[in-house]
Amino acid sequence: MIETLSENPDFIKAAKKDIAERDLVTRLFALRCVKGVSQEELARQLGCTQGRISKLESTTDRKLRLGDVAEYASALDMELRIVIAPKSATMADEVRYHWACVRRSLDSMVDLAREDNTIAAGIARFFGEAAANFLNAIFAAAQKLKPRRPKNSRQIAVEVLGVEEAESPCSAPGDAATA
Amino acid sequence: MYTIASEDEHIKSQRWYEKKRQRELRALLVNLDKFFAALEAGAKPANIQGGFIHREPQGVIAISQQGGGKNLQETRLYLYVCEETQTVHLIVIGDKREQTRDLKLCKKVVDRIRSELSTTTATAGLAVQPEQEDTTEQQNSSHEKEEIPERQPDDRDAVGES
Repeated sequence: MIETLSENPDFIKAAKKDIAERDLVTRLFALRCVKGVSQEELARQLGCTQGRISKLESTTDRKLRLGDVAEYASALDMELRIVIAPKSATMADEVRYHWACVRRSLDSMVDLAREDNTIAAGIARFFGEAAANFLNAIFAAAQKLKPRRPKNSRQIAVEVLGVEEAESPCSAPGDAATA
Repeated sequence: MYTIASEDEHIKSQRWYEKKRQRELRALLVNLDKFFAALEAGAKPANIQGGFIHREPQGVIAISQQGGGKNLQETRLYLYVCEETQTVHLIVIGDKREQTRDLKLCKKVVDRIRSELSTTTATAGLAVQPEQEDTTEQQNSSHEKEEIPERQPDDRDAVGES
């Protein structure tokens, strides 16, 4: 967002730092707004003053207390989950982590389905929908990949683009199988 | 997904604040980011409430510098959320002294946005009407900005300016 508002790299850097320091606070604020809960209502539920909620929402992440975050989330009918990840984790690692979580949840659902045929039928339906949604999301992301032009050579670029189109990950599944 | 659109006055005032009152501007942008994050998370504009958010007439929202630290000048970023087009229109940034003038500008901009929107929807054959209170204003004000005196950003620090 900041890049669209300023052309000054130093200012952009400083503003981004300010925003990054409040990532969790911003999420908490957004969560409360999505739930349509006012600061006063939340304060009443937590047994504190509205001023305390306001202060919590305007501080930086480093100054937040874990207990306060847990209470805030709980008052919004949410729970706090913490992920500790290596700093060196790549985006691909992140996808792998989430995929592992998904697999665990799928296994738990299978265990649950063993107890009741009706539940099993419902879960089977859900699996079908989830599979379709996963594939759609991956194909949609692949569609957004732009083929890159090699530097310094327009002629080579044309040839390479032609090859890439034939082997594009955006091709339909049937095409990919034949490529 | 919401997008941001800057009015000319906003671009001008943002440049001035970037040069002269960077701390205030950074505080405003932190709060704008919070507001935008709530919108993106699916919150209705009316439900986005916090100490830094002030409701002004005609659906204009003023975001203040609150929470940005001590000794900051009272500053407001005026915006209008057009839910139909999913656009956050940033109108202008100003301080307390300029509030009346800024709000007049906001009114004109919102009138223009609504007028454009009703024209677009009418062309598309949709029955969306602008708000009742604005219909007479639209007839009189149209798009001209001449009635509002030009801002003179470099004079903002001048003492005694009314």
